Amino acid sequence: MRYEHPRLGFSIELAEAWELASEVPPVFLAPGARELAFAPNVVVTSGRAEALEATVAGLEHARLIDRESLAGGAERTLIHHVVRQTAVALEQWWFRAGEELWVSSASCAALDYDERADALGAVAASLVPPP
Amino acid sequence: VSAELPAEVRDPRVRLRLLRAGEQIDAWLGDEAVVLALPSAEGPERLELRTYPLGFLPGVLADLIELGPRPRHDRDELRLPAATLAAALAADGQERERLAEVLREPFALTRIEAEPADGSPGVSLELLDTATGLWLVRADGGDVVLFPTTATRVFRGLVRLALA
Repeated sequence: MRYEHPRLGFSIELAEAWELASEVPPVFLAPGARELAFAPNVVVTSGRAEALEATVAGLEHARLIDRESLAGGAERTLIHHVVRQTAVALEQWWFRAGEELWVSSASCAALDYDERADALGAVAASLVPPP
Repeated sequence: VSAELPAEVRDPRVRLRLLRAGEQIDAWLGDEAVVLALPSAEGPERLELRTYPLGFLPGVLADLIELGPRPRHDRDELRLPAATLAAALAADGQERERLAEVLREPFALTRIEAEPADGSPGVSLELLDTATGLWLVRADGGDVVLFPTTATRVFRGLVRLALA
């Protein structure tokens, strides 16, 4: 199901049993997320382009694991960092739309990453910024 | 083993060993925590035991093997005699030429083994980290086969090791 945000204008493909947890900021929870200590989620943000290095520097105990250039000038990154004593895998998809940068950020506990990576990545990668 | 050592060391659920560049790092995994024996700043003869929540282990391993973005390559898998890889730096002649494209220096061979204490099958990950990109190394009889891989796939492998 493709979800279209009523105010921000982006759309994103949600697989079955994904839920919208918050409209603003847009937060989507993976199936079963509420039963876990760290809920696997995808958050969509937009703003002026910010260097990846600044993002990494702003995270606690962050390590940039992977960075991949995609078609159309998009990028995908994988960062490991710590949030409130929890090790987290953060996979981000960066899309440029004019002067704006739209980012879909998929997070889960690091130990859940191998099991969740494909599903989280599929949702995060499906972001389409507003025209 | 001294009773003063952490419970994970005295009665580990899994023993993990990381081999890289002639160094060995041992780790002992419990249900909630992992203890690593890391080189001590006090000298090469001493080790420092550090305890982390188990969830930190993939990240700690990523730090230890300096995992990060690498060039992506779409080369075919490469099969070669295991002895050749083991002696890669010393290889010469035709084998050296074959390896030159893959083993462009600097490169590092890392092996991480996780051995469950209950006797169930272990998990291992062998990685060749080169200037041209990352390769998974798998044994196949007397050969090894190098498979092109990515840092993301390697990180997923580190997670599987932590869950062994």
